[in-house]
Amino acid sequence: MMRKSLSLAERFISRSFLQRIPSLRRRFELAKPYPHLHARNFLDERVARELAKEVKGLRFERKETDLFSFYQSDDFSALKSGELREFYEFLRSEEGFAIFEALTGAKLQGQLRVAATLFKPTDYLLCHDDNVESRKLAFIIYLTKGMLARDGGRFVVYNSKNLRPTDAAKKYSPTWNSLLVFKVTRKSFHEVEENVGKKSRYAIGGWLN
Amino acid sequence: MSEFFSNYGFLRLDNFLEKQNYESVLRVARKLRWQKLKQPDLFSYSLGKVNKDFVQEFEFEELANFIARFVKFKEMNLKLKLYSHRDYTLVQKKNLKAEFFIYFPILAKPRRAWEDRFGGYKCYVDSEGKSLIFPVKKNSFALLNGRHFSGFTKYVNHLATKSSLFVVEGEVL
Repeated sequence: MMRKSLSLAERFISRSFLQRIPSLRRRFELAKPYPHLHARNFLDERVARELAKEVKGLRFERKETDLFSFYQSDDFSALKSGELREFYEFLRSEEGFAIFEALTGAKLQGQLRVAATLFKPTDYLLCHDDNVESRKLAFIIYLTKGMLARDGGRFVVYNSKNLRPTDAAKKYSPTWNSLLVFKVTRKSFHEVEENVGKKSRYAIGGWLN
Repeated sequence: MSEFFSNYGFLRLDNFLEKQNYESVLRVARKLRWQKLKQPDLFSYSLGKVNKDFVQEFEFEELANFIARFVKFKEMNLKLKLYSHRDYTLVQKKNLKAEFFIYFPILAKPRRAWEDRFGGYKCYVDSEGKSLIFPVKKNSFALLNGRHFSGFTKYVNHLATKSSLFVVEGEVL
């Protein structure tokens, strides 16, 4: 009996996530104060474990300014091999873009930037809107187990007034194998809380336009 | 000192205030009322209200005369800021002749020093992207040429625990 070969999406994304896309899209579009979504069980569990393992083996560079302190890897376009490279190829494929378009309703033009980030204890990223270049969507895939709310490192969505951030609207913990995606606009203010725990917080993140 | 400031655009002096004066200012600062101010995309800190006790201890006129040796100015504005865990300022362009600050660490445990790894230090960036970092050292003073530098206060992280950093900050116009 011939086995039906999996599409790229079915290989990397969990079946339960793919089945939930219509309802997730509605949540994304209705979210306040700007379109965003935090959804669990994004990747196939085996894929998530393999990507997490490879991310921990990457070379990270320290990024330090007034706005942030954290570590970032090279863009995944520089990767030569491995599951991470294959995942990158999926993300930048027509199928990869189709997933994000179906999830968010955005019309994307096929441009992708993606890298791994590492927030060690005391690292943080202060409030900003990501609204540079021609970014349409930003996404983060969390690859650390066991971070609790008290450990910090949460993604904070800000309310805004007159295009200035005011106070925190929502906070999302970096739950293992969850996806956070938001529409980049002049109001998409957000921050990453300081990591006040003992674990290192790994993720894959980037922008689509 | 004038030549150094003229050539490099900054000046830093340790043990700036007389020891007795420093301790008097710190004692008064501990009794000030603080108002929390936060604009998330610009700053977070507590602002102290300058009162008669502070004015008496701080010797504004002497400070203004000292700064006038380096920068001609019409107006000097002082702010009393308290930075604790989660406080910071971000780089902003300001139209100043100069700015200055004096550090007064307020430590939860007297024998513990304020460490650079806590954050809270001032960092200035010039137009070429080069940065100058001023580690927190009690009673150290710095003066920066406002045309050349833009500064920020590095985010204070949880390692500072219950310690705070009181900073007298001034702008010269």
